[in-house]
Amino acid sequence: MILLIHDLKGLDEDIVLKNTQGELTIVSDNGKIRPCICCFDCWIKTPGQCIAHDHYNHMGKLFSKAEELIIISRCFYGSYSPSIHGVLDRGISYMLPYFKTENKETHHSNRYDNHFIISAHFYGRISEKEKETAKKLIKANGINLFARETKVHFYETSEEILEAL
Amino acid sequence: MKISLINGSQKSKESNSGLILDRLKRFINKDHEIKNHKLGVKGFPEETLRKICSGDVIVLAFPLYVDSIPTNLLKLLIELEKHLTKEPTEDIVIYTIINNGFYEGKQTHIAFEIIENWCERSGIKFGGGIGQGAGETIGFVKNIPFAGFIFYNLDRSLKLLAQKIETKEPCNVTYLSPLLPRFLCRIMAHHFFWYPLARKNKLEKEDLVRKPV
Ligand SMILES: Cc1cc2nc3c(=O)[nH]c(=O)nc-3n(C[C@H](O)[C@H](O)[C@H](O)COP(=O)(O)O)c2cc1C
Repeated sequence: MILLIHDLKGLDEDIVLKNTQGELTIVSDNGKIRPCICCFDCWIKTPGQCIAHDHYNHMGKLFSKAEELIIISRCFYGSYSPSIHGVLDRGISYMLPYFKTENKETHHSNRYDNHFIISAHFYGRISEKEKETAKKLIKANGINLFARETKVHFYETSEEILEAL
Repeated sequence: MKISLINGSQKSKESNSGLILDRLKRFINKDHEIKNHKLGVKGFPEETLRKICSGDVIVLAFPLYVDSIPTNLLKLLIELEKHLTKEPTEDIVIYTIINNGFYEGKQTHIAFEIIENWCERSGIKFGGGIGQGAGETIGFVKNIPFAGFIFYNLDRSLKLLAQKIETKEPCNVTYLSPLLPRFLCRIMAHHFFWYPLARKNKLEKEDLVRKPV
């Protein structure tokens, strides 16, 4: 399954669905997403599942089924847009609470044996410095999400992304 | 001098960012006008944004979220950027204290870059700060007698940071880990943090590795 997380306002999700081969799941902020309050209940109360009652409490499970994670986000200061960030924050149940050390750095152990590709598409007026930051961010997210590969692309407008996809 | 202390944690209960700001406050001279702002999951009213933008110093303390900054803080920064570019202020300096879950405070370096990039867009001065690893340990050892020594280096860095804040001088970012070896921190986190929390919820070790499908 391809998991697409985007923040595009006018995206006709039906057209995207029609144009992709294979299974596609689309997630975007519906304006009612709850912020992650760092309660850790998705680790120690309902392992693998967030306890908030909204459409985003199963992000860990979705991650576990993805072969590719496509992120389309406006770039803010080298990071994601708040909408995208809010969705990603809700996905920490994808990991176990346990720590492991890899390349002299601590990370979480994986709950699932899944290693997707992350393709990040950032759009907006992005400075060179912000691009460098965004590249580092995706690489770091790739490590923490057990990705097997990460790719980062930049565009001036969101329309260009849709053409490229 | 007007100093705004912003706690960017999204927790409703006690946060490590808040505990760090409390520790910092002990080192700042009481003559300064210090305002505390807890962000939580709501934004700030217009009035608060204006106050923050009309001060001399901002101290931003927050947790690392997904190698970056928590969503609500990101929203706040976008709002502040609008304010600061509409009414440019030459001389606000921002100091940043980031705490993260993993042992190595160095893992906050990308979030520091994000803050630096924000400063460039907002036209205010990046003052440096502290990246503290094993952040959850701060709250955890709070009530354990003599355990506070593992954050001796944090207190020392906060004291130096307070001096910089009072003179509005920028400093480098200092990355810290607690004064305990990494493997010990890991063992402690598993046995004294996660397992007891799970047991409170009537879950065993085996339950924590469930894989919802
Ligand atoms: C959604 C989410 C994402 C997180 N991402 C990271 C991360 O990428 N790296 C890390 O070291 N810690 C991460 N943490 C751990 C927090 O930074 C840590 O628990 C921190 O101490 C919380 O601080 P606070 O009490 O001030 O909110 C994350 C926590 C949450 C809830």
